[in-house]
Amino acid sequence: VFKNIVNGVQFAVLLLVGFAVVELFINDADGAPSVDYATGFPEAQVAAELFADNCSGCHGADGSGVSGPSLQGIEDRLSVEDETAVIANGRGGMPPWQGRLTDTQIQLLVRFTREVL
Amino acid sequence: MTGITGAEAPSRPTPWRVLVPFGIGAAVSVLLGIYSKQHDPTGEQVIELFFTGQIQLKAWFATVAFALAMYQLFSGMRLYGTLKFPKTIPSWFGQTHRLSGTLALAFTLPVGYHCLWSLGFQDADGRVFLHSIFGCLFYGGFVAKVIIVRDHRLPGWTLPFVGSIVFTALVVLFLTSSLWFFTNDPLNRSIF
Repeated sequence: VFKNIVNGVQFAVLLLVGFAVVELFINDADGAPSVDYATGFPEAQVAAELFADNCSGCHGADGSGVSGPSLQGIEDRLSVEDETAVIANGRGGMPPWQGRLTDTQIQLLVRFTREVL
Repeated sequence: MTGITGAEAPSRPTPWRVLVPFGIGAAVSVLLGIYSKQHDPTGEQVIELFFTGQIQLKAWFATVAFALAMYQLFSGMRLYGTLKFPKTIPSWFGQTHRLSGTLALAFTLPVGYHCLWSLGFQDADGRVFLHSIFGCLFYGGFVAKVIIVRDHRLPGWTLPFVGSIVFTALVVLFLTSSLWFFTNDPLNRSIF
């Protein structure tokens, strides 16, 4: 009986594996990024692409946080200078972006997180 | 006629056959690496259940998988005779080995899915790079192990060897994710 149960569990997990593999290819993001760029500043589109390429993996497509913290309302928690320093130098599990992004790109990201997200 | 049918004759190890499971496992690892590198990370949460967030669920699911992997190691060593405890092996013991491995895989599925679909392959620092590499290695190793378990014409060293690879990969994944989150989370988030 126990062997049959284990066989059944293995079959169920095999189905789950198949489902997960299929989902990897057919599951689109839910309309991400869910940010209205039209209301942002003129360079918002450029900043949005920078954000999508470099930040959204940890902070989420809409900045609500995934493995990294939420950036929504960041303007209430950090000054522009502090946020710039965090992006440039990293903090905790976040790597430093100075050297990978230019100062201008970092400034764009700071503005994007404060004005658009 | 020798009187021994094909079904009764003991199957002899065929060394070259090890290339098949290891080749397929390696291909799975490489394909996962390619997918995670090519697929645009969605950055979205997938499933939280009763946890406060995605990362908490992942940390605990990986911990459960790690605990089951420890049982895999113990039961595997007992089945191979490396350990002598318990003195006699109960009839159901081998089935618990199978079940623990299956459940360990099941618990990694939502974790691995989120890593691949939402985060992608990352190399921002040593920890996440190591985690990405061993994540791909784990699933490739698991596929190889499933094939090896069912092929009785492989040399005897292959199963414990690939089992060790899968176990090591899962330990590294646990250390670079769950343990890191529980002990070093720079944001001091709730562990639940």
